[in-house]
Amino acid sequence: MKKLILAIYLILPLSSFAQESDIDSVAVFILDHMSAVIGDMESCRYKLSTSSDIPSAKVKYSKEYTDNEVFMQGPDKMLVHQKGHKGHRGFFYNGEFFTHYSYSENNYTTVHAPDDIITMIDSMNYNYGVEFPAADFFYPTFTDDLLTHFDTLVYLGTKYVNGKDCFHIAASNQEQSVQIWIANDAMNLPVKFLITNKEKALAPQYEATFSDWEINPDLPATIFEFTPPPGARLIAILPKPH
Amino acid sequence: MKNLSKLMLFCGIVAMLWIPDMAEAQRLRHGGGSSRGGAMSRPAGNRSINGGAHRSPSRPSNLQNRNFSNNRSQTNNFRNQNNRNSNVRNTNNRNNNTRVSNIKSNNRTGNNNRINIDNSTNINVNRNVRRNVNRRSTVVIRNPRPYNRPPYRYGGFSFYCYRPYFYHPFVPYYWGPVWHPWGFFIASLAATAIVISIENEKYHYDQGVFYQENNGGYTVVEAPSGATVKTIPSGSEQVVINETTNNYYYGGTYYEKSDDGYTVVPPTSGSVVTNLPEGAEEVKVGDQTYVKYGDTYYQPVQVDGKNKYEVADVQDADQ
Repeated sequence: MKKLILAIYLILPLSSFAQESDIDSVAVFILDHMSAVIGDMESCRYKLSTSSDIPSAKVKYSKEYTDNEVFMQGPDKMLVHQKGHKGHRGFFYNGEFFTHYSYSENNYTTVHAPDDIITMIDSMNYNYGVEFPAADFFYPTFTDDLLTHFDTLVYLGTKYVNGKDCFHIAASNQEQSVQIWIANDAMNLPVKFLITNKEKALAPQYEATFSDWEINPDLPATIFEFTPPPGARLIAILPKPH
Repeated sequence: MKNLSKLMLFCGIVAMLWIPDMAEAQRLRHGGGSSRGGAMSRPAGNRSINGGAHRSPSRPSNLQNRNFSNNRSQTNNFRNQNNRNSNVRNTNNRNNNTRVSNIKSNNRTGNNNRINIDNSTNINVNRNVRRNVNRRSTVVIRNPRPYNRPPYRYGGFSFYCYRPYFYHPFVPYYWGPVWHPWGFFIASLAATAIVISIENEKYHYDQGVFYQENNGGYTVVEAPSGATVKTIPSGSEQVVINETTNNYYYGGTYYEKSDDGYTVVPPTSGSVVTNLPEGAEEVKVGDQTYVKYGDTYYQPVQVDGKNKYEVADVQDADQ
């Protein structure tokens, strides 16, 4: 009898945990491995095609597309070249300054930036609302962040996506659901992800597809430096009110 | 276990307060791992793009077990993490005064000097000074017409406009040799200037420009809302407000016609003007570039193939 009570006592906390959240250790393992590969990179280059649902008066949401090319050089250099529904833009970060240049408008704005990529991404997003494509995957605590903010994290098997065999992982909480496809190959890099906003009517989605990954390419330092093209105007940037 | 979920709920709430736009943003929440992790600092000489991946030591053991072989020791990783997160928090508190754009734009005095020479008068324009008490002539009046276009949202505000955004570069416009921008100083007024009193403040008005006396001369100030003048210069344009009302626009100031003459009024949202004066400045609001003049945001638009500016109605996003 004593043994039975002891067994119940030991099992009880585990079962109550299972009721609160549904975390699949296989999903965690795959995500950890992907994060470790990204964390070991010294530089990288990839392309990212995104689609997002933008509020539109007559059709509720219109689907808008953007193509990005991203260059990163650890620990403090980044260049994003973006073309799409927000126009033709470039984000230049050289470890000291961050510049947003609009090719469409030929104007730019430069601000002081923190001295590493992730802090810079956080800071620019917090202070000026700048969205970096697929920045989530580059947070060193990516898996822990998913575990903290989502109640469900499950592995949905292998799927064939964009010409690759992928691990399909899904996370969900009250507000969002996220699906991630990670290549089932030597590198285990992300192939696609989808964020669905469950709280809004018609559940608008944001989808992004990675391609042309290059690991540790030799990138010339000059590409991260911004030189104003002829006639470019320096304009002010409005900080986000908090 | 209850305590743990309470702690996680608390961390979630704190994260929401830090990053209020997260629910609609195209990204997930971050920083949660830090609240459960230990102290970390980045090893010197690490050239990794993100300082290396980290895992929280407080993960349930069934999720920790599948630890693939990794040469970097866990303790090093943990030391990395905290330092990184404290950095993030610090930068969020960054003082806006350090912004390079602002510093540079305030130093752009070249244009101002050129204006002075062109007008062949004395002078020193300081357009950053808005010293008059009555500053309501650039606070937008909300248009009762319902907006059918979704607003542009940024930082908890919604920017409503009737026409679609169409960028064109801002070039200051000058309404002739007697018009001057805010902050322009002259030693003496023309004989045609008249005196107007509003809210116990004395203004001098001459051909579409309002002055206040100071430092032995007169400085151009923002037009005081409510001031009535007999005439406005002939270069004014009519701005349609609704079927029954037109405003008159000259030199960045809006007037409404009455029996006594023309009364200075604030701009009404949705009004469209062709030119904006010196003193207005392009400003990046998230992904869009607006022109800000006083407290008014103007959205660049195109009407019948011509570049114009529409007065934007800026409202709190939750309204």
